[in-house]
Amino acid sequence: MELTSLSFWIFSTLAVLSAIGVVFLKNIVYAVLSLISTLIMVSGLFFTMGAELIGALQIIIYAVAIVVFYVLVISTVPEFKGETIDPNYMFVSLPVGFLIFIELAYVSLYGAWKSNVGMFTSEVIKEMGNVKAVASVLFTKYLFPFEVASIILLVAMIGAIIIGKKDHVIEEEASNGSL
Amino acid sequence: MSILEQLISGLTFPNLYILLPEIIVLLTAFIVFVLELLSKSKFSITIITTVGLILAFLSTSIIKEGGVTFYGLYLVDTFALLFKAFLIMGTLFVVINFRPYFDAKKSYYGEYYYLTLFALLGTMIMVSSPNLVTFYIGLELSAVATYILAGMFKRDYKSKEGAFKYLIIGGTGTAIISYAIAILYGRTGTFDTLEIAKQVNLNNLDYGVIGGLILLIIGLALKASAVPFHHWTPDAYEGAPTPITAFMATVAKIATYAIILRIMVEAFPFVSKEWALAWAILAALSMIIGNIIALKQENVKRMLAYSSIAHTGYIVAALAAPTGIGISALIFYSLIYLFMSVGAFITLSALEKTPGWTNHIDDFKGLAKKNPVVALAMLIFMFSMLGIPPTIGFMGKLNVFLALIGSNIWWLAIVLVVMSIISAGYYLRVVVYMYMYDPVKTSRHNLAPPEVVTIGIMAIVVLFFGIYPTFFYDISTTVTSLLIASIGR
Repeated sequence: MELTSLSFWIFSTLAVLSAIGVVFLKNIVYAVLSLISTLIMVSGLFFTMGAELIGALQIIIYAVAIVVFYVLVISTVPEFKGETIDPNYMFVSLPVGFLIFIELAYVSLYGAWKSNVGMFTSEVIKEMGNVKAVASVLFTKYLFPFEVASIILLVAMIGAIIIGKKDHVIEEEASNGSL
Repeated sequence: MSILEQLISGLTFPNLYILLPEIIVLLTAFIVFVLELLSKSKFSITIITTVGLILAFLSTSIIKEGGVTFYGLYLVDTFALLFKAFLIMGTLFVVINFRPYFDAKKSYYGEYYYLTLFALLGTMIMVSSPNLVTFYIGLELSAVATYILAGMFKRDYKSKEGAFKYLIIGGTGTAIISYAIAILYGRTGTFDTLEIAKQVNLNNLDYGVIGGLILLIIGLALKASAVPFHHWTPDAYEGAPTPITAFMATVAKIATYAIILRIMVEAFPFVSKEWALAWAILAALSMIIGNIIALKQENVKRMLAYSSIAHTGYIVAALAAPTGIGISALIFYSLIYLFMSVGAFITLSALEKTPGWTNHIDDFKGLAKKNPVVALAMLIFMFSMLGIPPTIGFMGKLNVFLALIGSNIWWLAIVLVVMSIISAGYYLRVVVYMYMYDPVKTSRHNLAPPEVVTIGIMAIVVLFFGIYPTFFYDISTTVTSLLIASIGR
């Protein structure tokens, strides 16, 4: 009990501090690094609350895949490197972010209240574990959307290859033309 | 472990029979995908895609009775089958025109074919979704495939720019829809439209329902490019290759209208007054702004993009009257819109193959003297979009008008009529340029056989069913009555 509350306070303090860093750091690389820190801390919070599936997904998807992708974009697009961002956007982004915060808080409060109604009560989850509970619904009732999502990934991959390939073709033709 | 056992005992094999059109489209897409990697034979790719689409179209008529499968996540009813048949037909008429256009533009990729098929599959999943998750995933599939299709033009900056805008704004729309679904789930605890309908009525409207409904309407309006969420449309439509624009403006749009109707009617039948007002405002804005901006356009393709925004206005105006007549008018108009829009865009794509053609209005000068048949077809499509009596576009607008008057929404009916009159300014301008001017350039317009077939069939349909609209009137009325009967299901 003591350890849980201690880790909660550590993780949440670090999460808030690094989130402030994301918003206020001028250098975009530092901002992305503190974003990684925020996401890892939030996943730590999930682990302390016993939501091990979301915690692991948070690390795998957000901290690893998406943020690494950000870093990749920043390092490949030369205009971004170490540039400061115009702070005028903050006048728009702060209220919008606050609205989204209210919306998320509302959804999670309502959702937590409603989720007790379904068949996966907290006792069942304790017995089965989160991963099993999610999988048993995802691969039975929601199998169809799951399969269609794989087609979406395939289409997105094909699209990335085509759009990447095309520039190469253009360069080739341009160099041929100049010769 | 009792719940797990319960879930396993509930497992059934899905009824694949009612998924026949989807399976055929998916298989065709994969066959074309493999074939494109192995052989690069342009002819066989076109033929296999065409045959697959024809088979899929025929299979929609084989399915006599629909049903629900995948544990209530996939619904095949008359509404879905009707829209699927028209979506497949629209795609068929677009796909056969790919090769002449892209060969002339030197931008041929075999990927166009199967990406279009995947986008079609997404729209087909959308129209038969009784569940917000299925709807969302179908929308995402069609949207992702369409973003790629719009940006695939070789060596064209505008195509990239349009696709980028489409991607960013379309992604925002998807995000808004997913927020809306999250809020509705938080409020009702279910994704199922019929379950939502049971829990949402006038007595328990709270922030959850209102917020979710508003966000859902905003997201859907963004996908249907209703004003004020239309900013991506002109750039994406102008930048995309013209046959792809035809696909985006017809198949993707019609599926969006169908799903707007389905979600509004099935999930929120008891709060229809509230959403009807929202759609009325969106429709009025789309009609006014779409038509007025279209007046100033010099580029005919961009003008048609604004005209499609205006048509979104005419079509969703029918939702302002959430009665049987209104729903039937919406179905009627979205089905016939397919023919005139495919016709107009494919005519443009056929003309665009001419060297030096820029889609500028001046290019149309004297078209009637150089190529009287194409000019006549374009005249028919323009008259139909304008809504002049012997064409089917008139019947569409008349139905919406009658539905609005039947529900005493005079202000919107007046906006519709006034804006239709204003739209004559730009539709007739094309006709005037074609018929009243002498040709500036002497370049010949060569039409490929598929283009002749498509333009011819579309023109004949627009004229024939304009005189004899009973066919479309009957099917839209039947589907409407079935849809209304399913509310209390």
